Amino acid sequence: MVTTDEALTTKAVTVGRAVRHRPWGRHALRYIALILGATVVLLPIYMTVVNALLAKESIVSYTPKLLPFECSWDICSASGSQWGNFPKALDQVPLIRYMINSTLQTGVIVIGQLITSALAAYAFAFLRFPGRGLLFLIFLSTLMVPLEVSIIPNFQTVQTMGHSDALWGLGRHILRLDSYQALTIPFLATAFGTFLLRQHFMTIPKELRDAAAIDGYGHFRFLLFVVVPLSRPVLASLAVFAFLSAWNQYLWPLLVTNDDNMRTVQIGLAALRGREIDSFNVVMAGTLIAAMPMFAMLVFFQGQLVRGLTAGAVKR
Amino acid sequence: MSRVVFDRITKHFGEVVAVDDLSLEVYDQEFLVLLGPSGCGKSTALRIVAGLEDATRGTIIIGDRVVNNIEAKNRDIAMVFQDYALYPHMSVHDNMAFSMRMRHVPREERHRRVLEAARTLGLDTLLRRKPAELSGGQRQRVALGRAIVRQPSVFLMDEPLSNLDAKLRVQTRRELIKLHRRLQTTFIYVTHDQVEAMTMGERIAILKDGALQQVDHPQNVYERPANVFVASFIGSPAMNFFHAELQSRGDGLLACGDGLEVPLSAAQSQALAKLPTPSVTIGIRPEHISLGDAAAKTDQCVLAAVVDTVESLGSEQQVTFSNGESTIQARLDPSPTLREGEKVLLMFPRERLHFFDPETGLRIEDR
Amino acid sequence: MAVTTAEPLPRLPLPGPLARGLTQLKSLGFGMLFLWPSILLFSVFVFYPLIKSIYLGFYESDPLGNQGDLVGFDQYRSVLGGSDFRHSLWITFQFTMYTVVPGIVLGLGLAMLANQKLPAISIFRTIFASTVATSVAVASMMWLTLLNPTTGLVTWILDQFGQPRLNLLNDPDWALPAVALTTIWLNLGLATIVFLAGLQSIPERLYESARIDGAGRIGTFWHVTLPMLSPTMLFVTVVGTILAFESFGQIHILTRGGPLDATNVIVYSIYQDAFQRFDYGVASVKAVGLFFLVLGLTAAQLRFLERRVFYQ
Repeated sequence: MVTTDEALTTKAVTVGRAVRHRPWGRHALRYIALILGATVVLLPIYMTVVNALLAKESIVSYTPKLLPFECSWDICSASGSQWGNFPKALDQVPLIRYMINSTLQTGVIVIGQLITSALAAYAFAFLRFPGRGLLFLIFLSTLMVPLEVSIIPNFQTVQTMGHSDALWGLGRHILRLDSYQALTIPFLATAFGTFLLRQHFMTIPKELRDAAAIDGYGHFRFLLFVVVPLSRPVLASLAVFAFLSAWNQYLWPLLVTNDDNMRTVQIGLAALRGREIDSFNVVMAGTLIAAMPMFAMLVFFQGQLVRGLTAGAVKR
Repeated sequence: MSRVVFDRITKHFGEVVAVDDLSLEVYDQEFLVLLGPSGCGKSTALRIVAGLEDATRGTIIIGDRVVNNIEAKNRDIAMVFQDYALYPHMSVHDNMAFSMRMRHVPREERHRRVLEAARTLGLDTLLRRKPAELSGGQRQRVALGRAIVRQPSVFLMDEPLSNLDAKLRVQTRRELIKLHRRLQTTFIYVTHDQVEAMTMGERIAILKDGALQQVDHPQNVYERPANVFVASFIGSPAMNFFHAELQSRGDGLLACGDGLEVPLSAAQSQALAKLPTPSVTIGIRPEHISLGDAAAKTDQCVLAAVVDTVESLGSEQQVTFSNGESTIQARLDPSPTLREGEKVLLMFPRERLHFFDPETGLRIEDR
Repeated sequence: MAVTTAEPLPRLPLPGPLARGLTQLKSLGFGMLFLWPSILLFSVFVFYPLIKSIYLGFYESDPLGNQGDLVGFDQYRSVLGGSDFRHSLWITFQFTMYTVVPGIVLGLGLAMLANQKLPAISIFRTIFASTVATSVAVASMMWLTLLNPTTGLVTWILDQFGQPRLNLLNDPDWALPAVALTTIWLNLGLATIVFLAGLQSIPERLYESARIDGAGRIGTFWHVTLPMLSPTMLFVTVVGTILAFESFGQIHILTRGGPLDATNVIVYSIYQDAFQRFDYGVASVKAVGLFFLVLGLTAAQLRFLERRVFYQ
């Protein structure tokens, strides 16, 4: 190495008012803040778990129990059957049935939304026809129409279609109260999904379309074999988002299902409250069971979820 | 006093050594360029001076104080980033005044300094605009203005010209040199472009893999590169290298290899005789090669070669030759125009040869 | 080669304008082919209901829910001007205030905490985002535990601060804040995710520049973080307001609109009118009123706040 200078440390003097702290102290404080935040967020979930694990007698105590078992000086003993509440919850209320209903409902809605918005987004992104811009705006305007405004007429539609002589007897196969159709059909189209997919489709280079055209691909083939594979991440995000919205629906399933067999998890859970006022811990166990699928979704699909949710908020 | 001293600065990022035992003094009011390829640690070294990174080991001295534990804002430095880092929601005026606001400098003083810097940089008509409304060159000047207004002892610049188009780059280079002269402050300038380094720097410090290769005036770096890396990095097209064995011939040495046969001068022979093994790396710059004739003089080296490709630039030809064993690049006069496949004799002066130890890559002094 | 076309359909050997017209028709045809499911669904379940709701508002409903006499704008006037609606509006307004503002503060706070470069930070990120996985029903049931008058943690905490044991959900003064608290928690995950994405889009260089310029932590937050977050803030505010106005589930589970109408937000009162009293006319009027209210509110927010938002 060739250098032409000398070190001059000996002449240096340490001066200066603001001395930077070594990170350790600050780190500890930050972790404390993080743990505090996590505690606040997780508290309701934790208390639910605790209550679900308590036996019937324990919950009547005056101070809230933070742990699901009794601890005296020497030993901690489990009071009552801890896990018994879960099977009890499943017993006393057809939770499994509810879950199946919710799964079917959500599944159909998700698939339906994926299909309809992919088709619509394709039309808006790749096809040129008169009135395309206006039609897209009209699509977007559906986002502005709140649930309440459409709910009464939609309910009436379901009711009337369900009558035995609507549409020459066919109506009640399309829509009627207490049916999967009623739970799913109104939600099969989504402007949000169309918007999301369109944004993505527009980033697909035109050259790809031209190459496909030269290869003889018509629109459907192009959509199915080129566009869709290229859009997997967005489709996944939309799927997760649609899953969340559909699974969490409350008002609509409440209205269109009276038969206990058709209830979704959300409604079934709410009904649980009325029934089991005494056995609060059973109710909590049931709540946890109902919450499981969503948490699993979060754990496994966090990335897609975040992408879908932030599509509108942040410029990418 | 605004000198900057790197005293055995080392920086680790986990396993990676970004800066390796760097010791370097930047003199007061000097324009020093930190030059090197991507990833050589020059930006990291700059950021350590700025206080944006902490050195793993070693000391940084600005002026006469050790600043390792001093916050960036108190080091009396200003930094111009490659992508300018202007506050997008503030006007040009507020961008430049920001640091003064943070120090509670009174408003009139802020205005005055901003106006002054703006006039120097030709920004006075743009003060109300937001960065999004400016061109790249204008934004760059705002970034400069922001630095000037702080009246720092040291200006730190991290590849500020990379985002400009070629023409603007040349123009801004000259303006920066003038600015340095006017402000009479220390400039530490980081770049990977050796043309920028050669034209702007009073001294150039070349880094590779975090280690300092050479620091010297541009002319010296050009004429006496400290090792093979510096020799190949400075100068475009790059220096040609040959691997040669040394043989005794008469009262001197002969270097043979890669199609080259060079009788060495007495001075050169003497220097090379000290090598542990009789092999050497020889370097010759493309600009020192010319077309020769068979009647060669003793202090010229002659090499037969075949033309491979010719790139004509109008004022010169850049020709790639091959002589069976190696490729040689030369910058020749535009005429006579050469053609592919032509066989020619190349000639270059013996005193223009550079010698390097083939093991260490270090320069062998022959004078 | 010809300029890139959107659709490589063969050109018909017809005179100019006719060929163009036919190609346009073909495009339209394809367009409709792809769009008809969405168009049909939107027409039946979004646009038709909108019109029908307005229409229903013109008619009085009899006690059995059948469409009664045409009363025209009178019903609109009387319902929208009535004390019932105004009370619901007031409750809804309070509810929105209680949920949107703390939601932003908490969401931003958690996002900032989660945005640090610390080991194991991703665990905290997942935790903070976790409430996005709770549905309205699940969240309400969980908070029932916390709000339980005898064994609830919240009531116990309040007790420590001097508030005697309260049945929060049955107390007209505490019911709305309690439901709001549940809602804030429910939406916390979403707010955190959105703010975190916003924070991560702020270039690191700006922070470094501010550091050199001498901005302390507060200065950096005020002059760099907040302005750069303004689009996200707008989004969260607008969406948060809309969500607040449409809240139903938690009220249905926790308080059923009571006690004494203390939590009877507009949506809930619409539900009561339509599906408990079968008064479709009144309910439709309220729904239409709500629609225009939300529309106007969103437009006002966008106009008023967008000026302060800075886009890059």
